[in-house]
Amino acid sequence: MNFRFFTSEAIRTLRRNSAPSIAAFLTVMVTTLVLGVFIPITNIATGAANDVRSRLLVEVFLNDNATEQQVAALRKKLAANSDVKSVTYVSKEDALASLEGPLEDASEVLGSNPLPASFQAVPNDPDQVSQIVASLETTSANGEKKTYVSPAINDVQNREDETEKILSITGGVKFAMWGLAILLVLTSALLVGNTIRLSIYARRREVEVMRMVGATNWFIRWPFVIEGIFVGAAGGLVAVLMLLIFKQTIIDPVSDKFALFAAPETINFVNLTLILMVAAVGISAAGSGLTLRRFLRA
Amino acid sequence: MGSPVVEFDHVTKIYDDGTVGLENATTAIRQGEFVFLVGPTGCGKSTFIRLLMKEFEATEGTLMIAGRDITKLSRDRIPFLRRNIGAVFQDFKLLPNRTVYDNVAYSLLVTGASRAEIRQKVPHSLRLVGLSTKLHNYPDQLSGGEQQRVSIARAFVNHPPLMICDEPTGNLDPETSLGIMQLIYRINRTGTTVLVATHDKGMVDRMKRRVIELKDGHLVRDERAAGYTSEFNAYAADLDPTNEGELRAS
Ligand SMILES: Nc1ncnc2c1ncn2[C@@H]1O[C@H](COP(=O)(O)OP(=O)(O)OP(=O)(O)O)[C@@H](O)[C@H]1O
Ligand SMILES: [Mg+2]
Repeated sequence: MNFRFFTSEAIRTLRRNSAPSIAAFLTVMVTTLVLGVFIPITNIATGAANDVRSRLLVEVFLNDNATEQQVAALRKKLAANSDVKSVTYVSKEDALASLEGPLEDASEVLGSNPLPASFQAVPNDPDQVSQIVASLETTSANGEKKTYVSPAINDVQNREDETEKILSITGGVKFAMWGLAILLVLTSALLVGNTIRLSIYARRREVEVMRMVGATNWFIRWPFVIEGIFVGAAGGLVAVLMLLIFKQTIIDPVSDKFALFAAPETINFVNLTLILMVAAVGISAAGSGLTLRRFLRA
Repeated sequence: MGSPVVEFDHVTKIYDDGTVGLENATTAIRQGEFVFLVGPTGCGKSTFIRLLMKEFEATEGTLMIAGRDITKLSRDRIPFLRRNIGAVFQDFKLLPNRTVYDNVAYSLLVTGASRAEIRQKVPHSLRLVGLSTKLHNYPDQLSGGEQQRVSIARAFVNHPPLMICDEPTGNLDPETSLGIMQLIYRINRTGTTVLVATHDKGMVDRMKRRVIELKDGHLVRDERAAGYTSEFNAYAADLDPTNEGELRAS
């Protein structure tokens, strides 16, 4: 395999016949740019949605007269549940203290401490909230009377309405973001593929001549693939540079003011660059090689 | 006469749409021969030639080149078959983004020829066709006749045993055509077997070579013209170029 020759062939075409290559370059650049903006946005949006979801928990309120053994057994039971990530005990005093913050002199007004102690169970997955609640309830045979698995439990709350709202809204946001991302990646691949197809279609007679004088398929294909790599790398590189400038001049100075931009799950720029470059070069090179197959078959 | 270079044995080509391109053709072309392929438009001349290049499969029959059945040739061997056939076409089929020199060099490059070999053979081949001064021109900077000379230089640079030309003078004026035909004849004299499909009746009559005539895909005539001589000296003198370089047997 004579890569020096194939590379010089690719450069020859880029120099002598640059219009289609420039079109392919611009297409790669624009789609990379769009992806480069969209990936962090997806990241921020799903990160924010996940952040909201992670605050969902199940509160298990205890009877004031529950014995220590009952409470300990319940704690064990909760901790053993595979859907539960962590269990925190909130004593009556803790509950009151958390109320006293906003409500000064609560205990004075109330006279005694009416707040129950509770366990706060954080689920592994916010969608499992209702399963955790269900695991604490037993339903009698006729299905009418609801009781709890432990006599220590007074009530189980998961702020049902809120939970459902939060789950459906954040789920919708994540679904929409993924849907858009997939659509965008597909569109980009098709757009780049089509531009390359056009540029190769314009040169199909050239390919025909090469075949006529006895060039093997790979002898014809390599320069096209290498050209695709050059075009993809150039388009990707320019897009990444533009993103870097955009990030440093516009995003970074204001990012402190917007909590969203500082979301811990935002992709870091080095990884973003890597993903974009691999995608740009890969799609461009594969697009060239695959499109050519049609003209090499007969 | 030498051994057969081309053998058609009851070859039929029917295109996908049912059109008959060639039907039941049987003939042989021997080493060193110069053969014209004639007939009205649509009679199957190009079909005959494209079968030899294995651009498509014969529907029936066997087709041998240099004793090898090319109907049994696997797809990935086709480039190697084509390297042994110098092909010349009506529309020249040059690579537009390459100079004259690079166009000729390309058919050596595909064979994996060394640089030294290319540096030696390409100028030699271009000298033979009288284009030594236009090595660095691009095809669109040349006249039709000059472009056809480049394509002949490209076809000949590998010294193929067989050269096939599909209407090589179809796009050229009579005077230029004569020059091109002289060139092809001189290549034939180096020992290369030559097959020329043409419409040019005058040329065929003057050159007094073997003629295969097709009609509606059928081979209707195959004969040597009166006055056919193996050495062709008298006519060769008549055709001798004045200042177009020299073609040596190689
Ligand atoms: N790819 C194809 N598909 C279908 N039919 C074809 C195809 N190529 C040629 N033919 C038909 O096959 C027949 C022979 O065509 P061919 O090109 O061999 O003629 P020809 O003798 O070279 O004509 P011309 O002198 O005009 O070049 C014609 O009827 C033509 O229409
Ligand atoms: Mg024809």
